[in-house]
Amino acid sequence: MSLVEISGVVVLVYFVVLNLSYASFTVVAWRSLVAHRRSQDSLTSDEVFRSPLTPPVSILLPAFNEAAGVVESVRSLLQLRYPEFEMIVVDDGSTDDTLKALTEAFNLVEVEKVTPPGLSFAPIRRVLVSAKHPELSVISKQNGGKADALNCGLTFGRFPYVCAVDADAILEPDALLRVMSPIIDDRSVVAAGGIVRIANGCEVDHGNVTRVGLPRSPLPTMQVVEYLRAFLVGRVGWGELRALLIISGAFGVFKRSVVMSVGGYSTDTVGEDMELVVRMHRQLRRSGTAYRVAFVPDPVAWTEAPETLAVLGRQRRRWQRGLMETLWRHRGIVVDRRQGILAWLAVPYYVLFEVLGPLVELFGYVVVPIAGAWGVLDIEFVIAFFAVSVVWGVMLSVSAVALEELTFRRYPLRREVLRLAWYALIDNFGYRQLTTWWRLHGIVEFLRGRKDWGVMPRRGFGSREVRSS
Amino acid sequence: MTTQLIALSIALGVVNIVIAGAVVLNRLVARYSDRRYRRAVEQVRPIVLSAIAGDAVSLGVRSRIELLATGDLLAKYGRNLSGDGRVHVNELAERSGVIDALVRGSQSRRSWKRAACVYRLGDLGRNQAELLIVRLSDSDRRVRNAAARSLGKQRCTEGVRPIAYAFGRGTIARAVGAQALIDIGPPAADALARLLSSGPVLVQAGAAELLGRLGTVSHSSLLAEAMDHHDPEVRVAAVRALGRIGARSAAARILPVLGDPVPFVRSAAATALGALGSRDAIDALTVMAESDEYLPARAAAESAVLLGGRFPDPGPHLREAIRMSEVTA
Amino acid sequence: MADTTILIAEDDPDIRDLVVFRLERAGWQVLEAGDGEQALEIIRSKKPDLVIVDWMMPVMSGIELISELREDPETGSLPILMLSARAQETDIVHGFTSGANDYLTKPFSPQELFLRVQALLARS
Repeated sequence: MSLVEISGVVVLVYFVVLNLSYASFTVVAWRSLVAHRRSQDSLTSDEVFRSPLTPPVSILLPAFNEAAGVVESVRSLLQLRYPEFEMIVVDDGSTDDTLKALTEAFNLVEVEKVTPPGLSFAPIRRVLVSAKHPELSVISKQNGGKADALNCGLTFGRFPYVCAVDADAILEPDALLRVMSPIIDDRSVVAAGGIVRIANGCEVDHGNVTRVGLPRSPLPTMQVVEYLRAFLVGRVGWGELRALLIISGAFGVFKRSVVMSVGGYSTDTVGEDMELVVRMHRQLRRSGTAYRVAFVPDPVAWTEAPETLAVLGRQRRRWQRGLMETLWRHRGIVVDRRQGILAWLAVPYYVLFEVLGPLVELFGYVVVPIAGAWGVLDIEFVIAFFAVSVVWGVMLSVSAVALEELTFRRYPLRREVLRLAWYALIDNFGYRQLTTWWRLHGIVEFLRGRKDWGVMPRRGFGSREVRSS
Repeated sequence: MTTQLIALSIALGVVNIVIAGAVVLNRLVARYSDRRYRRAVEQVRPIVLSAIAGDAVSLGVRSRIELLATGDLLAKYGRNLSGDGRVHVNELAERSGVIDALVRGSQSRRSWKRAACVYRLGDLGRNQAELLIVRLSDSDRRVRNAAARSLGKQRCTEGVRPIAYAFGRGTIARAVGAQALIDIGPPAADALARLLSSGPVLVQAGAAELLGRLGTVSHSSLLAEAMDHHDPEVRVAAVRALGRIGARSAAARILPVLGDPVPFVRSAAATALGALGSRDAIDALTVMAESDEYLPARAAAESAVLLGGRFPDPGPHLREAIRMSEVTA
Repeated sequence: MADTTILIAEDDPDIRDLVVFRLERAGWQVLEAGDGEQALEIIRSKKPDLVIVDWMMPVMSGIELISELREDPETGSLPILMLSARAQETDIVHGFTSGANDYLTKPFSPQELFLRVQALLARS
């Protein structure tokens, strides 16, 4: 066999394995979602809400130059339906009016606080508490990045569980109750996350999504389909397999003592949310502790998706880099027998399909046609093969939309469902290639060792604002 | 090979279009049935509301969808009602056959259906302890949780022991079991007292915690004994419960706990002394606030300030507590 | 009696139904608001004789609504009944210290609600 033939076979096998695993994930996710939906009629959340044994939670909100939206976010978080929580906003050395806006809105007054023992983080400037809401405090510190701010919040948190929230995330009123439910049911759960959705196109009023809608422009709509696929299929599936490696930084809860014992968030990666979860898995498995990282297949948080190619590209490059940094740092997992499913499935899967995926895809797009043109490969075969892999990809997108429609049916309008189905049919032509390109860039950046974050301009959530431009 | 691949891709393409079409079709059907359901709800609503207010209403002959709507409405309302309203909900549910359907459903082979029916019996039914207690040992956790909840909702005193048992063995969610016992009220306290003296550590802790909500001064000597328990979780829960019950006499028993080897037990003791208003503890608390490690020192400072202590030269914890009490006042 | 107006500020429509039905039957006129801000608007324009307030509401919570009402001299003595699922003693204390005149926990008895409203109206 010639080299070309061998690589042809490799690509073939790769696509078959990848697509089969996606398909089996879809089946697993479908079962899990149906079971979850059925359990909604016997949800004991009212009891949990009233119960004195429901553990209290510290909500951590890191904010860097979020003057536009931070007041709105805090206000909506204070309305969360949960029996007992405190809220710690960490102003990470903002250079805009973040602190001023918070001070005015919540009657903050400066206090003197003893810094608890715990993690290390950039020096604190001032600590303020709200005279209006006793559960709210704001810590203003020197800039140290998101992970550093979260470590500060973790240190000051007084409750056994912490909930990390992005300043721009919009939460469902009972998001915390829902995401805490696996913990309430099973004390060995050390972390839990839920479904994150795209807020573009939704009507937002006072920090609550009042009407769910699709974005008007194509780029964020593509991301809606992509999120459906990632969360409804991917995360649900990994959750079922007890090998969930990512809890979205936008919204997740953690057992504080475990996070503290593994050393908190890592400040030298751009993917600190994934890195923390992987590190928790790794250390707990190493120590032989029985534990679980849970995924709640409920839409809990809404987040703003990039609307321009430039910003989206930056985000995807950063995701790819973060993913690779985490996997590289924890590469030891694959040779550690105590790591179980992480060693033989989760990490290899991520390396093979998430890290190498873009490379193989590029190879497929570039090398195979050339080989075909030279007559080394049967050109008809190449075309037929591409056709199958594309149509298969389309099927996964369409199934994700179908899962949404069968379970949550959050998009109220018929034409929106129609559009969603349409985008699911077309997102393999163009958008997929675009993300592959960005991820390739991310790989290059990782190899070069860039660590800085892409800046994402936020517009903030105004009242009665229909964000769909 | 090539031909097969092309055939496969065409077949998959067709599948895709079928799925996409099914999504849209499903929405159309759902819209239709949603509308029918909503219409039924609006038809039944005035009748249900008037029945809840105590009127003698007749339901007449009902279609399946109306029966469904009646059940849903009754459950929604019943969940928020107690007293007379609740009695009327139950009467209507019995008369309209909703209860019978739920009792049948509670024996379904499908676990989610059992869970849903058992759950709803809590909103609609009355005195179904026997059925619910059986479900408390169901093979499915959701059913067990639902059964505990419903026993609480129906205030079945017969449910106290089995719930306490399930709570103890961890076969139901602790928060749910706890709330069920609280809903049942004072009769649950004695069962909890028994759990406190035996059972796994986590249960003893939970029992102590709950006794703090349901117990009376009569349980304080039992809780005081639990303060000597070998497990710090139980000690903490006992101290907290004593603080909450508010028996002044307990203060003297809690004072020595300020010297507990485990920091969070010391914290709990300091907080409880503050809650009990025991001014004799101010000196000990002040010393602790100045010298102990972070958590107990903070708790001690908060309590010392709460008790109205005077501090000529307060350290950092006391300064923080004084300032915080000014802010929240 | 017929010109007595009561406002119910509650985000759960089921509970609103129950309250409205029971109080209208007693011959009072009942207004509804789905959140605290809406309630504030209605109170300022329609000037009800009594307000029933839920604790947990979107936009503006019941507690915030009450303190807003108490700060305004015009509504400073408006009778307020808090209707809340928060049943723990600390919550009830918090409700009263925020300025509520009475506190009823959910699940509630419509009859009891009626009697409490009647008593509050008679006192004012």
